[in-house]
Amino acid sequence: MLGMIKKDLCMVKNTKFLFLMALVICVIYSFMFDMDMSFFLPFMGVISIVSTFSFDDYNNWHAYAATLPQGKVSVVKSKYIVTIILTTILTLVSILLGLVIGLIKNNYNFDIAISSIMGELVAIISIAAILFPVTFKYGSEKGRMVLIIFGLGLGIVGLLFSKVIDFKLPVELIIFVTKYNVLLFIGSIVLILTISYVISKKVYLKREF
Amino acid sequence: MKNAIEIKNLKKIYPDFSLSIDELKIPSGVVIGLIGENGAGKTTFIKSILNIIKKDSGTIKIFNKDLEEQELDIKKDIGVVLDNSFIPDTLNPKDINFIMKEVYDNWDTELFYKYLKEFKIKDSQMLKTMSKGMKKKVEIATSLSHHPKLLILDEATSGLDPIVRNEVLDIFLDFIQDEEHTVILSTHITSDLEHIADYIIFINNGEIVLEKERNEILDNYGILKCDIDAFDSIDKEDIVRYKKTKYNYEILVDDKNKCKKKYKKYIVDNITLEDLMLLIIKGGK
Repeated sequence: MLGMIKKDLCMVKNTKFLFLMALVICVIYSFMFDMDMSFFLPFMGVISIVSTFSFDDYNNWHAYAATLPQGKVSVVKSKYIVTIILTTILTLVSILLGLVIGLIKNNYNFDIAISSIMGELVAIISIAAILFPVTFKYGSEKGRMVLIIFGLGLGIVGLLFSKVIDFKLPVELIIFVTKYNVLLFIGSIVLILTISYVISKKVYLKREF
Repeated sequence: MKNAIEIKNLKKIYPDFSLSIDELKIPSGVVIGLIGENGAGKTTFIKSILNIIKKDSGTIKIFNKDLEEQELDIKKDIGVVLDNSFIPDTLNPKDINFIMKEVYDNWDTELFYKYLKEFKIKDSQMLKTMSKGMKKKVEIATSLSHHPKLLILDEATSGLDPIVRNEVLDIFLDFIQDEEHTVILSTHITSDLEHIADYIIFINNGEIVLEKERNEILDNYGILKCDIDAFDSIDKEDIVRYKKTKYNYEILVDDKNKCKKKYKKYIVDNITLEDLMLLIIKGGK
């Protein structure tokens, strides 16, 4: 399986310019507009992994991969492992960047920074978790459609909750989430990725190339 | 002689096409030429023996091991070049070496770089910036660099200029010097097969219509050419297939020496694999 991981990492490595641009955007927006950009780098990580699916499809990689003595499962596993590796690294870079910028601007709050990045990561991982099984089943084109529909759907639901419906989270829930945020964060990430991986594996094993 | 591949009652059914092979034994140490028109079932056959597509029934044994039970073990000893399917083209040969070292236990970096040097390919050049022929050379180098016992090549020589094609065919001939090595070469360039194939398997409409030694085909089959008026005088038993041209009939015969003696008035030409394909596919019966 290491071969498959190396292959995806090599492909991600070739998009390093994208990450450099993302880093510059993060710095500029954080300094000039005082925006929280901690989500941006991990999000770009997921985008770059999604782009590896497109290149895989374009080159009919999956048929070739099926001829290798690695097994189909390793193709699926590697995408998830590389997602975890990449988002972890980019999250750490994001935290470090936020810390440096916060210290320079003298407005850094560790608790708020960590809480917000944990929430954002759950959202980013959820996008990948929905996208991967669809892409493994139908290919990258349809996967992208799902991403757009998912994004639009999420936007509409968010708008509904914030504008149309006067929705407020119960105080008990907020206290509970705040108290157990780390556990909840790890639990949700593990659960989301496990469910997604099991579905991806199932659909990919059935697929013919 | 040991068999590299044994197939029994293989069936793969699609809504508009099916592949059906009752029995096929491919011995070790030979080059098999796979011919047939587009959509005849050559790629389906190759994908079936690589388990890329799931067969509906039948058994496939490679190196005397059941493909379903020992798939990954079998694939360690197979080198593959597929038509339009390879490692993503955002990578370069250096990356391929870095990846394949982990994929194959017996990946030979030195051998891979030897082939790259032979093919005049830089290891830092991205596949997407390479010509079709160069990319094909990288695919061939990749397929050979883990010392496989079986090479499965789907249109591996297409896109290569005649000089490089000859170099590549020489590499395949070198490969086959080891009597445990086997090559299955599917190609539309049938003249390549006339040079290197030991056996020819001709697939048409999902079935094997001819499976013979190359020399047997080229030595025995022929094309008898006769006038339109004289066609009726030819014994029907001697006609395998026939084609009516503007001025005469071209008749495929499977014993050209007998026909040369029997029909002294007419010409019996030697056959090429291309002629054979055309007459079997397009000719009347």
